[in-house]
Amino acid sequence: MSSNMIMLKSSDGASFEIEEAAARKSKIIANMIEVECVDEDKAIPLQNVTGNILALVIEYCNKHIVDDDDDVATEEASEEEEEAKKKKVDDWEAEFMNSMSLETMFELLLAANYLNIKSLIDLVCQTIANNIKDKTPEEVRKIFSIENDFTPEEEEEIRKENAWAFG
Amino acid sequence: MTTPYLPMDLVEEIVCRVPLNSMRALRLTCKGLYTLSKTPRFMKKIGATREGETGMIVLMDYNLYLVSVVVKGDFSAELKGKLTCLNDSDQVKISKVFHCEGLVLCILKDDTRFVVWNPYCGETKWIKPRYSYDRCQERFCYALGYVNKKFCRSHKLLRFIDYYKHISGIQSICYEIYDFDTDLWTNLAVTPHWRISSNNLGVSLKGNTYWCASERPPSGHDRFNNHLICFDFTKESFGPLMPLPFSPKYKDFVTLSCVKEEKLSALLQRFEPDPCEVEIWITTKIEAKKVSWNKFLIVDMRLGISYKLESFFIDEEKKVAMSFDKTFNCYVVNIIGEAGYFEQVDLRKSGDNNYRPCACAFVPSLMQIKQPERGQRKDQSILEKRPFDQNKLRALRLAYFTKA
Repeated sequence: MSSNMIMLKSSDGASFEIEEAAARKSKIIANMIEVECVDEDKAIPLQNVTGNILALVIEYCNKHIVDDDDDVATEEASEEEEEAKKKKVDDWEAEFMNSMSLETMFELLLAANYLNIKSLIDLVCQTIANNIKDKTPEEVRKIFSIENDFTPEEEEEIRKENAWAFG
Repeated sequence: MTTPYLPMDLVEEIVCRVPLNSMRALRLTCKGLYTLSKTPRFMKKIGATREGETGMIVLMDYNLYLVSVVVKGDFSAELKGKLTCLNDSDQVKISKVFHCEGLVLCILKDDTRFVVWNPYCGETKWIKPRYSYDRCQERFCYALGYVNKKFCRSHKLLRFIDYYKHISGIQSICYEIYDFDTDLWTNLAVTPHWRISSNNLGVSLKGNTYWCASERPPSGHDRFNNHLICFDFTKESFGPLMPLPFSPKYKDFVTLSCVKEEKLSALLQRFEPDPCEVEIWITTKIEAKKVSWNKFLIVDMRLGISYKLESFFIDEEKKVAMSFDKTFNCYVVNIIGEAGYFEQVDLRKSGDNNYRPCACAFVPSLMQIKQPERGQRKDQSILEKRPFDQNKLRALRLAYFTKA
């Protein structure tokens, strides 16, 4: 495992030290490392991510770096071990997301998208989806700051079109 | 506290992960999400099945439910949603369902109308028959099919009652077809050389419908449901009787299923002398006039189930068959596989009625249902050249009461 450390700097000026292997979960940072534009003494400035959100991203990356490293070593691990490991990660992720407000989730999603961390995007999207699944159209609009652009006639038409649905 | 603004591509990533039963609310949110929900890309994402997952629409106590069955190491079956009509007053009781590539035909109980529904898009179309036969309603067979045209599909609905009493020779036949394009019913002139029993559910494959059928007149009791017949919706005619891969006896049970919209599967459940064996075959070639079969699974069920496996589904890769059934007090999903593998999952308690369980595949589809153009609906009583055949109705009533 590489023990190179990298400095990341949030938009509000907070600095974070992170293992290179963990930072590589972000495709953007991994690319920067590949093309050697990372100066060891200088922190990578992340213009779009605030300190509190970056701390969450780093917590996530640190947790998952261990798991990825294990993949090679445990290639011959039994099915039960694999399953137990997967359950452990799932439990950690559930706990991680559980403590978050919807607002934080949105910010974390924007950060994961900016840093291009696919597995974190998936996790946050799924959690938000679970949050909106039983909401009314009005509640969904509020969550996504969407304006109702239907005319009353159009809305009635769609209501009619969707008269039958699994609920 | 307000949530930050998300670009539309991230909103899409989120909403494609909501379960199907949130779609109505999503479509009513804004034009963007409504349009998005109707794109193939989005449907593919939301309808993406997990490995080993089969989507079923099942009928329980006259209502439709969405069920997801997953075979992956373990076997699980889970209720995912229940059909809800927007207005409580519109709630319907459904007695039969028939699936045709993403569209579901629902036959309503105590109502002479039919509904064709696209469970993914939500769209419905109500169809009224020309004549209702009141108490004979249950004896009708229904099939939904289509004709491929240059740029679209034209759907048609076949409805028939074919009462035939071997001993007395009494028969009453009425085959009629409804065309979604013209919104018209027409009689179909047929002289059946086959017999399809009314409790026999057809299976749709590539626009046509297949049934288990017998010869007419049957050549003895031991030759029951030993053939396959296809109704070709393009030619609007039945094909010849084709062979099934086994010879059922009188008490044996035969039923069909469609495999991934490409092949047919036939199931034989032997009840003579005792419930003992289930044979399942899959077609290697299937056309309106030609069929060949390959053995898929033979299971010894001596210690398993004693009721008929009416609605079944195949997972070819996992080499298992799933069925939706009703035990004496519960709706269940069964799974049978090689070496006598058998498991059962309870879905819910069954109500106090004795109708047959029925299920069809859930296949997300953007297929639109042709609606009559506004103000263009024709009055068929004026257009219909052929006067209503009173004799036919009389014969049907006679048949019904003779039987009863």
